[in-house]
Amino acid sequence: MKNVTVFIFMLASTLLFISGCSNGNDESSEGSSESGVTELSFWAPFSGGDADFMKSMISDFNEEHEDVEVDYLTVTDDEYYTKFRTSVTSNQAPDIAIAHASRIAELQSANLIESIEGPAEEAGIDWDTYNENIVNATMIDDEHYGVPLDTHALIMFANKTILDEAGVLNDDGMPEVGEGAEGFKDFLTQIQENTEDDVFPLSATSSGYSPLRIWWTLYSQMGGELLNEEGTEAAFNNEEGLEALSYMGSLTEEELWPKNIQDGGEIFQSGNAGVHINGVWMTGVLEQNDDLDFVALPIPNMYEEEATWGDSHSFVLPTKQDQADEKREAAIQFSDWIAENAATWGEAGHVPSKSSVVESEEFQELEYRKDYAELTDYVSFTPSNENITAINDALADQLSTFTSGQTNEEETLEMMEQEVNNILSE
Amino acid sequence: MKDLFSKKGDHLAAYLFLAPFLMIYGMFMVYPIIKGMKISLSEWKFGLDPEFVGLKNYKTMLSDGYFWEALGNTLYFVLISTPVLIILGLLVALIVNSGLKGTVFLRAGFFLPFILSISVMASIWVFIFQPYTGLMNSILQKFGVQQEIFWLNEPNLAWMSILIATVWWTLGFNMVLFLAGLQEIPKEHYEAAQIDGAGPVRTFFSITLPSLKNVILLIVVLQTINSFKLFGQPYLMTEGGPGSSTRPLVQYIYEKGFVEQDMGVASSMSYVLFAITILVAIIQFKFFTGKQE
Repeated sequence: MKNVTVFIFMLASTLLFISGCSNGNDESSEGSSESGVTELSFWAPFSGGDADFMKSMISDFNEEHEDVEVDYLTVTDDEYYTKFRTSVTSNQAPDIAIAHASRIAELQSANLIESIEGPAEEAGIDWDTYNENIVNATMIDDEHYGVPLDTHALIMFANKTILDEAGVLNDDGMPEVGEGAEGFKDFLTQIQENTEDDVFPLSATSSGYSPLRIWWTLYSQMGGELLNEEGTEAAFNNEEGLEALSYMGSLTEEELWPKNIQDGGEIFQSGNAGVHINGVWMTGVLEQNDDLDFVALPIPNMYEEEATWGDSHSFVLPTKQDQADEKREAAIQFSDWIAENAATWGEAGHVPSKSSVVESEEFQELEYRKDYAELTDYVSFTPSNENITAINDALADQLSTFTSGQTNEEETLEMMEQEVNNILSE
Repeated sequence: MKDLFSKKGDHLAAYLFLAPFLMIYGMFMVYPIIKGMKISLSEWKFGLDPEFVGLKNYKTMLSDGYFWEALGNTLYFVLISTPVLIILGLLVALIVNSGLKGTVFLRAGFFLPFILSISVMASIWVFIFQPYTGLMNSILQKFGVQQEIFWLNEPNLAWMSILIATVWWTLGFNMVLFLAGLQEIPKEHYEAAQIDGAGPVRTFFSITLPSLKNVILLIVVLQTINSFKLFGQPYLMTEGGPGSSTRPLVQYIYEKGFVEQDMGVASSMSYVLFAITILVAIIQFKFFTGKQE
């Protein structure tokens, strides 16, 4: 029986060894081959439906372009930026990659991506064809660092069956939401009072990034700024920041937004919630449920101005010292082509970055998407700062603690400010 | 050791056989350990050049409240999980070894969860513990519990949930080790005890436990080290939350290094964990072997 022990140890150590080595596959697709075909390696953190749409766009591109061949690799979402960093430092970076606009400052400050000014000019990119608000989010000091593909923002989903039952659906089949923050609360209260007890008036995930995105949306609607102009200090410990928090807290307290929801999307998808707040990507998921009769709309304007949390998938050039200029140019051309043909991408729920694509028949024919496409003009991006990920994570932590009811709003705001200032002073 | 050098020729073959192992061991264990020490003394972000800063990272670490909280969380988990996993492991091994009907099935049943990957295991338990739609609360509601219990969102319950999931997941491994130990004990000892008229309790404490001494030492050491390495369960089940109340040291190291990109401080924290783990292992070895006269 001692053999069993020995065997298990050997098995375990072998497995460890194998799994440790499995990342060693070389990228042998070196440069352009003799046949005159430029090969581009491309990385993106897409999964599920997103990955399928991207793959189909790439195969269309490859078919249409005989001199360029794009080789696509999906890298898992969780480890994407870690892999991105290590690949650049170890000289294994892809020729072109997707990065979130919010990360661009961070990547640029660590010298992980290159400016695309030169290649974009060579490739003849017309920036006017892109939505200005989105392009701005990919620029640092008036220099372009990314070609935006889309924007994905926080929106509101509403279950028509439940809304109808609660009497808050108008004749056009749209939710009847009153003016301002109070109006939205009344709307949720109506749902609470006029439906079964097990219906969630609002089901938004209570942990992770979800509370942060909601807070940021509310705070942006009051015109708030996250950091001071120099990006050296937190600038949200003010009346507006507190109001946004108190409002979220009051929704939880009155059980309009029940506490500690692990997965708000799941509850909405199974038809047990009146309203759901999540990113546009949920559209593609929710429409797969034929029994669910819903609308997808921008989050109502609860304060002074229209705004919502959002980010953008953008093409960036990872830093490669020995890269041939033709490859950079081809990579940017590829990015522009995909952005130009991104109506397919809209099927994943995202709003394309080029207004011509949004206006195209192909996009307009898609159900749900056009109802919220307007938000491209007022999406509120988090500020361009090299520490933004650390800041977002710290804020998300504090806000999750708040939504689970462990701290009050003043304490939370204090802590949020303190954490952000700590990160910025390092 | 002297032998090796005096008769070098004889051992050449041995060294040749060892070479592949030593090379890999050097590359993946020794080199990273030395490199890690160097990183812990520099300020370094991926993509930029490291800059030597001496002991600054260790100072930053010691004055960071979250470091102490994370270290406390890890120690707390070691304290609650190690005894439970060892005692339950022994208990289960005894049941499985009893020769009752159906023990083959039980043996497989207890061991099976261990082959699951951590993400699968965590998903299952999140599904069980999540509020409103989770299995646990649905069952409790059938039994008349009115209140919604937030297993993963209340610090004490969250630890409990992590502990339960970990026990379910890794108990099988300890069971197999104990089982191997139990089957090594010669039958004659039990027969002799029976003839002397010893009852089952007496037999257990006078024969079974002392005979398992080496196995127990092995399991205590392995289990403690494993518990110190806690990361995946809270990361996947509670995200270290609520807030940071279940965030273990390894998760904080990961976040410092790969999210905040502060490789220096992350490395110095790794060294603290490394030192503590080794220290605890040495104490345990001393404690057990000391008694063996």
